[in-house]
Amino acid sequence: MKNWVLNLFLGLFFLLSPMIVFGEDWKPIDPAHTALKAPVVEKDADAEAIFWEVRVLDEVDGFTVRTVLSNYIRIKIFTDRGKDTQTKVEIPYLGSYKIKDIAGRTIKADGSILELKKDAVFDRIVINTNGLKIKVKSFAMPGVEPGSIIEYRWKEIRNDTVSLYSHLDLQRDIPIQQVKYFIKPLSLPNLSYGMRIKNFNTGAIPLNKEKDGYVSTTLTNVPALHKENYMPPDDTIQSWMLVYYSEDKNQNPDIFWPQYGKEVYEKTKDILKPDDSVKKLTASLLTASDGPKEKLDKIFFFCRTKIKNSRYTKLSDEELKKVKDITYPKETLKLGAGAPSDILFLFGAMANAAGLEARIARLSDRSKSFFDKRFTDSYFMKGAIIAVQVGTDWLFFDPASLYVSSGMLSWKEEGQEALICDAKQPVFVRTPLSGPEKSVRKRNGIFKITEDGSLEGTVKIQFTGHFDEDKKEDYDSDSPKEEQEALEAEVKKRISTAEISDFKIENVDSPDNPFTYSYHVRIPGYCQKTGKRLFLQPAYFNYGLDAIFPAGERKYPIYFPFPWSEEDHISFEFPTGYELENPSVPQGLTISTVGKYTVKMQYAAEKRLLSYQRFFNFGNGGSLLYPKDSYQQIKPIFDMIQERDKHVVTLKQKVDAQSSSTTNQQ
Amino acid sequence: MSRIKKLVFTQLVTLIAIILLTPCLAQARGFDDVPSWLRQAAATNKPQFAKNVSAVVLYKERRVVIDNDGKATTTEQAAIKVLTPDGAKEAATYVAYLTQTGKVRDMRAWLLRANGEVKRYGKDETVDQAAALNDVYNETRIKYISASSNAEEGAIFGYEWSTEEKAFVNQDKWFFQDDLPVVVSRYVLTLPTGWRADSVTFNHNKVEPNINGNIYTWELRDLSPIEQEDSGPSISSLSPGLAISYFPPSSSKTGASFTDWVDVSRWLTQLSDGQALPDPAIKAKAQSLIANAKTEYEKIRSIGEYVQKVQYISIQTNVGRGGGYKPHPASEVFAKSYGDCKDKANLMKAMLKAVDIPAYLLVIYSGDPTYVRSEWPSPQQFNHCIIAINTKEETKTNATVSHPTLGNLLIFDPTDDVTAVGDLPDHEQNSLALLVAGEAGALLKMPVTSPEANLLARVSDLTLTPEGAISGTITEESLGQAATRARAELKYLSKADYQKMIEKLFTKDTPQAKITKIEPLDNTAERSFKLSIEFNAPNFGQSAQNRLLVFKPLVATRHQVIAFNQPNRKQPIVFKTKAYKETVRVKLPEKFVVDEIPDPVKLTTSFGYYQSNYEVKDGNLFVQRILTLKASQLNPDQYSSVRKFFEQIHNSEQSPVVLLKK
Repeated sequence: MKNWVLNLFLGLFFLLSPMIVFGEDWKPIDPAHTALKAPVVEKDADAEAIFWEVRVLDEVDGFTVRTVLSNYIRIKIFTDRGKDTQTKVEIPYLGSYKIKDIAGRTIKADGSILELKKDAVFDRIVINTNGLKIKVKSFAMPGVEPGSIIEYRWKEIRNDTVSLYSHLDLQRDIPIQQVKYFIKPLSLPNLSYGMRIKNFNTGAIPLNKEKDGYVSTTLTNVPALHKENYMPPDDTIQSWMLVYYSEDKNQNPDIFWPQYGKEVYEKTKDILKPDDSVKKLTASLLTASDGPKEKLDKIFFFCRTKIKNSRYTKLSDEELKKVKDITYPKETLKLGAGAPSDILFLFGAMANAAGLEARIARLSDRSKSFFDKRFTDSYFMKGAIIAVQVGTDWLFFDPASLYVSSGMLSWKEEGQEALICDAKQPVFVRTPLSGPEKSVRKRNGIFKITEDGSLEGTVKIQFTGHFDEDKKEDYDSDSPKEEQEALEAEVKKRISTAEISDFKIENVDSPDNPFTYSYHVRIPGYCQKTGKRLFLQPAYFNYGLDAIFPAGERKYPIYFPFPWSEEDHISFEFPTGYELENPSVPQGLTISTVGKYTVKMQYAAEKRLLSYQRFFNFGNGGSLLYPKDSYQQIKPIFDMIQERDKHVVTLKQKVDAQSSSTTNQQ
Repeated sequence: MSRIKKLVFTQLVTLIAIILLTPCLAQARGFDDVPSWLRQAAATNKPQFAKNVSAVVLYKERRVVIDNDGKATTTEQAAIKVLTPDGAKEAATYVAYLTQTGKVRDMRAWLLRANGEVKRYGKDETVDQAAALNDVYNETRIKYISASSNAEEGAIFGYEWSTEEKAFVNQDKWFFQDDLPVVVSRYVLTLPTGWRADSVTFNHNKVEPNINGNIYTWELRDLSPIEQEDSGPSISSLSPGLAISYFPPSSSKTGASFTDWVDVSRWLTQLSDGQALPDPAIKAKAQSLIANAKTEYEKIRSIGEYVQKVQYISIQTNVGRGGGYKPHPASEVFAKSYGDCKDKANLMKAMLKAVDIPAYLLVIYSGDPTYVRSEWPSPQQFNHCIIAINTKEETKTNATVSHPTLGNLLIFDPTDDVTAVGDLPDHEQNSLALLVAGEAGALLKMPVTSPEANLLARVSDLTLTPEGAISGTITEESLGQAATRARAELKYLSKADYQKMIEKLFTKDTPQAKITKIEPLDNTAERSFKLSIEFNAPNFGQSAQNRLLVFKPLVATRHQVIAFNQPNRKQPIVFKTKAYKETVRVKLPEKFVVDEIPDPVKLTTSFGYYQSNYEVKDGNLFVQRILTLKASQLNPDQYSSVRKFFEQIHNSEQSPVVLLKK
């Protein structure tokens, strides 16, 4: 009898215990939060997280390690839009991970509570292919309406891994009143690696000791992350945290980086050492009279054009297999193909074979984050280029990027602190930032205007420098039809009535020739027409463009990726019987030492030919990043340029034949 | 993980899986294991096509074998020849299946490359993924093989897959082609002894089957490519298609068969009727919602607006047993405050029932008003569920249709949370929809609202200074579907993004414009929306040599610009109903006289009307323009007149006013 009672008790205990834990684990609801009518952190927010707590636990389980991430979030809903965006919850995870202990509830404005039922949580495989499996747990919170509070929690178990460079968000798509991370590192005796936590874009926030070996960090009043035109990379704007393990090395940057540079040097010195085949090939390319720059140009040209780069070229299955096995440049040379890193090493080895001093230089990617050497870890140093010493200067090369213009790096690598690796004295050297004259949009148009105001003619657009690189990266994997459709769409987005024909695109995958496209266009009603006048906007390439900065206010700094120029040469032949009426030219604009806008116009009356030239450059002196407060100065400049691009010239029907006149103003 | 990160994560993984992994793992072998049907198809002499035709289907065949229990075993084979680099994307195949009632038995593909190499794709190269990523759950999945990244010009992609499924209806639908040309396309149905089949052909002359015993074969050859054009019909209205219904002997217990629309109505009614019982909570809520309603229309509107706010959440289970047509119980949907289209319509039906207003579910195809064909009674023609409310005569609205026995039915879509009660989304107007009302069920033509019921009226009151600065107010009042668009912008954009959208609308044509006030006012009772804006722009008018002042009085761009810029047209032109009216008053600066104003324009056609007038009076410039488009479908031979109509409008609206200094 006693056993029966005991068994029943134990049975009930196990049945009920999850429910008891379930009920007890929720934090008490503050009545002030139930009564909250408006967001605290960001006015006009549709929903706001009251708190978001994450516990990160690295632990040893038998012979394996694992990370357990426990999330708990409580959200106040203020509007229908908040309800619509927050009701559905999806937790994606890798097939080898586990998501468990999902619980949730909705607390309505009247205090009543609706629990998320277990059968309302769905698990499914989003994608499954040849060993790669992505799953998602999804559920919808019940009875959500404006005024409700929703809260849910879940546990993610990542077996066979620890928090090694875990990128942990401190910011969400909604504002957060308080985000708190509890972190517990792996506890192993004699482990020479220690867990480190680095916050970004948070200001100084302390790490507090908590019970059970955890440390915590808390951030309050975190606004939502928004998107704006020309904003710096997300990682330089949003609040986040990097959790990683590293050796207990000296964290002084002046000691750390030289040490790191020596390590990289040691790892790569044998690879950059040319063997006989590399030496022989290099010698065959060069002549005795070649100076260092000629030598480098020839080697650069060879590596980009004679070695198939697996990132850009379709290789056969057999070639791909062989590429994977490459270790030394001689193998790349023999195969005539390689991965980007193989081509980089080949270039370095050939430069060394040519009697120059070539090194690996490590640097970060400016499109993703801004490098700060005070952070003493190689996490951001993901890029590699070759540095070659010529005289006292270091020249930098990236032969692995097929579309980078000769003498330049990718814009993501320019203007960056590059660590030149060395056996004795690694040094940081800033890579050069190409000026606006190197990245040019050259646009030419030859048009005729007809009496009804239509415009017809040909257009040719050529890109150099970083524009060229970006266009080729964007389009090289597209089919010609897709390329044409995308570029035509750019025109039609500006001018919906444009009729485009004879579209040609050149040099999409050429490493050396500029990306160019041309087309014939007819635009009915391009000129505004009245009874006796036609009004022509000569800035054809700016016709119909949206303002670069339409918003009245700004949340984040303004960041232009690279300095650039625009050069437009356009001619218009007017219909007979029309003449220019009081022609004027839009004023030029000098933007401090940073940029310049100039328009020139010439009119040859006897040929009824108007020539319009527009020049614009920006980013001189490397001025690419502007604080948020300068928006009220930056926006009017670009508005003013847009306004001047909208300048129209008036063509009036002739009363009498007049002698030809020339206008040349600036 | 943030939503943005989740999205990027998912996309990245999909990208890796589909684009990179699959082709890399494919094995290249000799020609020996290529099936004979593919070898035979590859040897086909393809006809000549225009340069823009990217690929041709040399052979496509679907074979469906039905057993006595109604289980369908389907095998599809096809060979596609890549003709241009753009055609590489055609070297892919996918098949959908339901996890509960179906499975993919086998899926294989081959790429016969132009250099003679053969790549083989099997299980390791097959991607299996969820079909509806936005749903909280959906048991529909797809299996996918892509050879696109290796398919150069001249390559032939062949595939074969087979599935097994216990069908819940004895019907199938199949298109002989999509937009690619086809050499031969065939559908073969094998039925058990004693069964029979009927077919309906869409978008083509009737295709009669070749019947050999219990094997039915439908075949078409040499189909030209179909080119889709802007403002044209959807591909489903252009591509030759086949709808097949098969019928077991009367004693057989298999899936449902339908001989007419009442059959379909009965079947759907039996699935859904029991789900709409109002429980006490629903009754109480319905009563509280109509407490202040004075008319039947107000009662319906109060309940309709409540159900519109019930969140759309899709959870699809039991699809292979008709679950896709069966709503969750209304009480459950009410308690959770979420559901899909049929759940929302069913909840509304229950709430209306609680206040003694009879209503019925109405199934419809959302997105293409021409999709549903009356000649094929089948629930498979519908993808959406709305509601038809039996109303009194005084409740008649623009969205009311008449039923021969039930009388007036007010049609409403509670899933569309921005279309007001009494209006119908334009993509549902003019569709055929099935009233789910048992024996009274019928296929009904949905109403088409008049252009006037969808009017957008803009009034601008502006002042121009001698220096060219402009300031003033713009007020937009919209009705019907125009109000729906305006309401959607307000509802779906955050306050900050809404402001940005308005700013962008102005700054495109008026650089340096500053918006000083934005005041939206939604009035669903009147099915209208009002937006008032105050703004100023310092350099709106362009001054020339201190003598002329040139400006365009139409300050803000229109929300939607229609343009036809192709020289020729192959497909019909489809217009939705639209009406626009703009009135502008500009107080002109003193010491200036009007030198030129645009000529008046008046265009009257069968499909639309446009008029614009400019007048100067007492120092003010008055402009009025009116555009009306009727919902219509025009033959391609009318294209030049359509194009001319819109060109003339565009030219007129570009015209400026020229002022001359006195």
